[in-house]
Amino acid sequence: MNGTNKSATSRVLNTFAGMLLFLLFTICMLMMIGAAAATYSRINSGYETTYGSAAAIRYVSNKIRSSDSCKITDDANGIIVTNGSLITLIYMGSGGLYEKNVAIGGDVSQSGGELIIEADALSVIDNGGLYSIIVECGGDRTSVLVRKG
Amino acid sequence: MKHSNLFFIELMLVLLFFSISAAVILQLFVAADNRQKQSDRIEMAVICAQSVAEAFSVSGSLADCVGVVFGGMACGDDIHQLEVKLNDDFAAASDGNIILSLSENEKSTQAGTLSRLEMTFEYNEEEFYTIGCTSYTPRQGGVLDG
Repeated sequence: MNGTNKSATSRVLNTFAGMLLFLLFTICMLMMIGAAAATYSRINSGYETTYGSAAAIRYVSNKIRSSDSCKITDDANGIIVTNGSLITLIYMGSGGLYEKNVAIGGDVSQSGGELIIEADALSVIDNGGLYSIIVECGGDRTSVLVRKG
Repeated sequence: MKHSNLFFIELMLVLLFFSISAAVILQLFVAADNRQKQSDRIEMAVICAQSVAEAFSVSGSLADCVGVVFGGMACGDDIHQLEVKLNDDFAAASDGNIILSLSENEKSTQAGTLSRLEMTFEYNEEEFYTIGCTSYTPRQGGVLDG
């Protein structure tokens, strides 16, 4: 009888120990998957905000540098650059930066442009001999100074 | 009993294998995360350096340039060698962990002054980006003066 009881107890303990090991394994794997998912999410969101705002800043600053003349729009949410007989208007529209190309004398209102990059806000400030361009993208705010002329 | 012992030995071996694999994979993810952060820092440093270079080319002096870009938040006894502390957004901050070292060299010639500015970005005392720019200020009247 005692031998039978001991045998049954050891079988139960063996089964329990096996299940415990599987549980431990499962918990470790779930923690690893959680850490990996969090890391991937952080990398992805960091990439989108950094490179989104950096690309927008570079696009606007390169347009200013390559232009013959540049003027800030009345609401400071855009710039009007002139290259020969072509006027390019870059402005902040719904969901991003928009660009519109018109001939001299054409309509330079902030509508009808083409979406070039997604952004939350754009502002251009005249800072003496420099333009200060500020772009907000995904909660991050990036600014750059560009020389006039 | 023999089957049970073998089962547990096999289970332990499987767990050991997965533990080693998990450790390696986690190391890779940490390395990827660090690489992404470093890449972001370099990208922002390039944009910051661009602003400093543009302001330097307009002002022609390091002190004025730092005043325009960082609101004058620089430290250093020599006006030709300044340091600015930046936070993670590359804005000037007294408790920033990114250090921008600015060093200006002026060379006067008969026609004008050639100023060279070296910018070095450091994070955790490790240099991760450096660039130089030059500004030329012609002298009034140029070579024709005496």
